[in-house]
Amino acid sequence: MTEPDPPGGDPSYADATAELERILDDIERGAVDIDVLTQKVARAAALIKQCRERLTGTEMRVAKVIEGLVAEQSGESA
Amino acid sequence: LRVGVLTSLDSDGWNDFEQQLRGSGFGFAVTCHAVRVQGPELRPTMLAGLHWFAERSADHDVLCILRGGGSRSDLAWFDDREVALAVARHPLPVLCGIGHQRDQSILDVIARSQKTPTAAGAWLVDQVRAAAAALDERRRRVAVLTVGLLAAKRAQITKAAATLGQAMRARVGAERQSLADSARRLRRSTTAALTQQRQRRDRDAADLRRGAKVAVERERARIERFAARQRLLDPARVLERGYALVRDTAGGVVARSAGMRPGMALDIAFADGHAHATTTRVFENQGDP
Repeated sequence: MTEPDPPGGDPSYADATAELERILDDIERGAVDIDVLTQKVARAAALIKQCRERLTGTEMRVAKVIEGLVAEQSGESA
Repeated sequence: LRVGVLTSLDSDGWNDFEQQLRGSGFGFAVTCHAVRVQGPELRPTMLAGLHWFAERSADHDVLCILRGGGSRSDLAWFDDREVALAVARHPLPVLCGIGHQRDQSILDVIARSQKTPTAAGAWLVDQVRAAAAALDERRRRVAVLTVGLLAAKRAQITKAAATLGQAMRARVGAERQSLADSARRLRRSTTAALTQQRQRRDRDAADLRRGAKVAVERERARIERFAARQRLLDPARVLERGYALVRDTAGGVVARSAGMRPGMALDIAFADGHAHATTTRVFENQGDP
């Protein structure tokens, strides 16, 4: 699931999940100041949203590619 | 015919002979050598003439000795032993035409004889005519045989051509059949190969779809675990459940009662706002429950 950084400054999926995991680990260890905590939680929520969107996009693209393969094949056999 | 003649050039016999040949219509090549045909000079001139033609026998086909009619005593000069021997030994066939119908000399006995020069000429012409007729007959037979032979050969060639054509057609037909078989086999094997390839790609596509689905699902589950943790850790949700966040005046979180003193100012945060408070008494739990 490694993809190049998409335009617009969003991190790649791998970077996003790594950052997400780091934030959650830090919060669970209590290593986050309560003021920063809210920002960190908001950042984690944003990263989760990005990752979900990225997964949905990937799923759609994969389906489209496979659909293309099958169409190409049935075109050949015609 | 190449004819050598021994005779007297001014005799009637020579003229009669020549006339016979000329009147025949055939081409005779006549070489005449003059000799005496009576008297004592007959022998030497005749021997010289016979010798002359003997030396040129390759250039002649026949030698004629001619003399027209005369008295028996005139003709008697021909009954000469040496002349007779020379005639008998001559390399060319010798034809005699001496005297009248009733006359006969020694030469007439030794050589082929005709009674008169005219008869000798006529005999030669007859011989040539017979030879020409035989030649014509042979030519005709050769022509007939040739025509027959040609027809046979032509029939043979026609038959061979027909056989060849048949063989060629058979061969071409066989080759065409073989080509058609090859094309059919090629089509069959190509179709089989394509079907195999297509099935493999179908499997590949299915594998890909499955693999991608599994990978996405795994990632989704991971992200959802992250989301669950994030929800649990979100302080806003904790506050919504009735918990409060206590800070000192410096903004530091007051997580424990230890260190707190009466009169200490506090800021208490709730889900929907916060309140300032003052500490009146501090209680500490009496050991773990």
